[in-house]
Amino acid sequence: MHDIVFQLSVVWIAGLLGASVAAVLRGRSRLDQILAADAMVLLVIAMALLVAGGQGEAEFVDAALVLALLGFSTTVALARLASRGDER
Amino acid sequence: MSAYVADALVVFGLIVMTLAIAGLFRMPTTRLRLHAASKASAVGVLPLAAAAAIGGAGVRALLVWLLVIVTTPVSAHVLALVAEETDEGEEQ
Repeated sequence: MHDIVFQLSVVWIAGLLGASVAAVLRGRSRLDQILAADAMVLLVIAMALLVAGGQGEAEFVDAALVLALLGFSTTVALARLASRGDER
Repeated sequence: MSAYVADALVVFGLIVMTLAIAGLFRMPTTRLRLHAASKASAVGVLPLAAAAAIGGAGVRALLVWLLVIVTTPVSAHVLALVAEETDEGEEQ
C-alpha cells in the first residue's frame, strides 16, 4: 500500500515536469526560462529521491546528489550568460 | 507506523512542489517568480528527502537536502542580481 503512494507521486512529479517544460517554452524573458529550468532540475531530484525511497535503492540518492550540484552550477552559469556581460 | 510518516511527508512535499510550479505560472514579475520557485523548492525537497531516508535509502538522502539548501540561496541571489541589472523584473 505504501509503494503505491511513492509510485503515484512519481507520476505526479512527471506531470509537474511537463508543466515546467511549458514554463521554459513560454518564459517571458531569458531569466524566467533559466528559473524554470532550475525548477525542472529540482523536480528530477525529487523524482530520484522518490524512486530511492519507494524501492529502497540507495543508488538513486547518488544520482540526486550529482543532479543537485549540476543544477546549481548550470543555473549560475546561465545567469552569468543572461547578464549583459560587462565587468564580469 | 514509520511508513505512514513517510507517506505524509511525500504528500506534503508534493504539495509544496506543486505550489512552486504554480508560482512560476501565476506570479506577475520575474522577482516574484524567483521568490516562489526558490523558496518553495528549498522547503519542498526536505520532506521528500526525509521520506526517502525513512523508506530505506539511508541517511544519505538528507545529504541531498543539505546540498540543495546550501546552493539554492546562492543561485537565487545570482538570478536576482541579474534581474536587477537587466531590469527584466520590471516588465508588466
